[in-house]
Amino acid sequence: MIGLLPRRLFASAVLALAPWLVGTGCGGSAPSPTGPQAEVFFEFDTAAVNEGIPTQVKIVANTAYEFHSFDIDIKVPHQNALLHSVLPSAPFDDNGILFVTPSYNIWAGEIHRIVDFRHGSSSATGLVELAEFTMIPHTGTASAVLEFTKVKIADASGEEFTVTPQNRNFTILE
Amino acid sequence: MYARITIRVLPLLVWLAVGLSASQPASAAVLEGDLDGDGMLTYVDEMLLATFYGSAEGDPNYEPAADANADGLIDHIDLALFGNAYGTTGGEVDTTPPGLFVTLNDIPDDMNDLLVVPPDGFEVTLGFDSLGGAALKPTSLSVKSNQAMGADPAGAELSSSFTVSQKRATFRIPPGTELDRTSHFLTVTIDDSAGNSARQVYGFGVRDYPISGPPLSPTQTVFLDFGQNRSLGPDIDFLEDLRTFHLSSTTAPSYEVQMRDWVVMELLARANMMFGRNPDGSVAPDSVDLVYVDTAPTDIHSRLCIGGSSQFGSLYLGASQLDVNNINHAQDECGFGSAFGVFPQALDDLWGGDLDYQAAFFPLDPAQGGTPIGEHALDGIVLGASFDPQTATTHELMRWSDISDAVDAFAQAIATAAVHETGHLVGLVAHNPAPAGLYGGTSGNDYDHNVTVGGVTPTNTYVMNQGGSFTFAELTGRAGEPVPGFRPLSWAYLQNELILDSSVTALHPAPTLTSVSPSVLDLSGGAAVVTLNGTNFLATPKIELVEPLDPTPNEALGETLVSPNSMTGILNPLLVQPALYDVELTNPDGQKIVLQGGLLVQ
Repeated sequence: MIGLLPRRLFASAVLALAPWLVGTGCGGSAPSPTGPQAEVFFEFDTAAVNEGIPTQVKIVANTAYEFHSFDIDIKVPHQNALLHSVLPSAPFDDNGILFVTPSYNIWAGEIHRIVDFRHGSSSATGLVELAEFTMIPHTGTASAVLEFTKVKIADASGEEFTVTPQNRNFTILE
Repeated sequence: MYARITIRVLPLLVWLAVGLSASQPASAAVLEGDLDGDGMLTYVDEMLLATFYGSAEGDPNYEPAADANADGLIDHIDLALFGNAYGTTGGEVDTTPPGLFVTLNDIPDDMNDLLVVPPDGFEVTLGFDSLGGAALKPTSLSVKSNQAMGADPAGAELSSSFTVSQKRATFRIPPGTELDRTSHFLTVTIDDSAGNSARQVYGFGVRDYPISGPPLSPTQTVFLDFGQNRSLGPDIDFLEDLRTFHLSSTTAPSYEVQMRDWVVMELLARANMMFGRNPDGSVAPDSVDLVYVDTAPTDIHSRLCIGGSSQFGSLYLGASQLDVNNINHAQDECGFGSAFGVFPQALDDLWGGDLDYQAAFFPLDPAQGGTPIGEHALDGIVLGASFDPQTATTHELMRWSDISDAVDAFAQAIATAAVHETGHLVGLVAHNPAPAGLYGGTSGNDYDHNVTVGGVTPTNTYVMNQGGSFTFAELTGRAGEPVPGFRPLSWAYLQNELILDSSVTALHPAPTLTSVSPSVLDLSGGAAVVTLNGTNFLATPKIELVEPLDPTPNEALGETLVSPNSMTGILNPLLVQPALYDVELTNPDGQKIVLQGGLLVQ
């Protein structure tokens, strides 16, 4: 039967063919980002992550550009660990509190909305601690990973950074 | 340099320009991010910003005043802009009241005093806007009515009944609510965080459903008849239409039935969806009680013929008989030669020069280098039952696309026309200047499909607009245009949320009753005439004498309207016993007035 459903199928097929139909090229590498860039990573002693023992983990940014705010979500997949108690880090934070209370999904190993900003015109740059949190591993000898699920950074003019998040693998010792 | 609230697009470049402008003294600017409107960016603004953080346009707590770069998101970018300007002082103190808009069933203000709703089931919507200044404070919302609203007495605070967000508040009057049948006035106020207050008074009337119930109840059925030959040509009109638009071909007739079925299915689906129903005509949430079918039902139904040309000329896409009060649920729009119905042949005469029309139909038109359906070498494949676009060749897809596009355009164009004509069958169209007609009002020769009750012609391409006012893209929802829909006013009526009677288009002022003459009447000698004096009497009020201890009706007979300020009635001693009566006058629109102790009968 020719009707509404085949039309949708058709649309997807045309989309798939579109580059060929209009004669555009294919392949090639992704364009290099322009504008301000930053890396973010987790800093902790991966050789000393023990089951049931709280570990302090720092979130660190490295950039040659000045920045003024960030908004970060993190996760430990597979429920290998509990994440809680995010605190601001003095190198970035200027008033002792995060902008909003982060949203915790402790049993899923997730923290959303780790957000902070600078008050006034003074921006941050270089190697900067953004925040720290507590991780309690609870699955012995498991291979685990700390992931950034969202990282947003902006400068004082509102320009968005291109961010390269560095996830961190580690092993939980019994 | 930090932004001013008055310019909210492309913040960096625009704000820079504004900030550096010598002609704009800094003190005149409202600071961007000054959500409490006090002229400073402080921790108070920071706390307010935190309450809106993470919201997006459309979310309940999205506040435009907090969206510094106006990208529809309140996020880290707005936070960076706010942070950079944090501590700034000397901005303008916001003294601008917020915007406040009140609607009933999404019907805008220009029809305020003319709306008449049934006693329940309609929705009150309040929209507010910070207008770029201090953030709205929805907790300050106040809504009061001059009449009782359900269990709430007149003057009670109603805001707790509303579902409130940062930009709007809604309240659907629950089914079963018995609002008084009279004029209602809602007084709405709301403040912003700077303490500025906005106030609106919205008036509307409440009436019972006229005649026998809601206008579109029970469900009305419209049979789209594709099988007539009113042109008296060699074949039925609709098949000839398909050939005209090369959706079928006499040289390859084997596809004609398949194409007819396809086009009819698409057309029915689109027409039903324009009334809010599912494509198969079944009921969907908030759909209209009207359904299209393509075979004649045994139950009562109206019939609308589809096919051929109008006897009035090639520029008539459709015509039907206006049923002002939607009383006739069995209209036949196939009679009188080909005066009534929908006439596909007009599409080419009306939009033949339209590029979107040409894009849809030229690929099938041999006069334009196209190939009619059935005559292309690939049609056997792309119209086959096993055709699958996922595995088709490029050429097959391109042919299938041409066919599908033409079917889509034709089906939607005719569906829009059918829906328009159906609108007339159920009473829709604005005739004459306001306030003569809303859903018809008065019939006659002075037609204006577009004018609103407020006398304004809307720019929207509503489906009841005159056909010639559409581009082909607007008619068919192509090239980025939406498929035409009904005006909110019409939609509310179709959903039985607005009633249709003579009071709809002109809510008469309430009557007053100042005196009864004589005020002392001796009926011992037989029947006598009384005269009632007041204002706003309509032809013709009823008179009743009310005595609390007498449950039997004490009606006057032979009521006669003398003028809008005077009427008479006859009191018969067999019906009216001696007593002191309250005199009750009721206008035909249901509005009544009582003169306490107005008549002593001896």
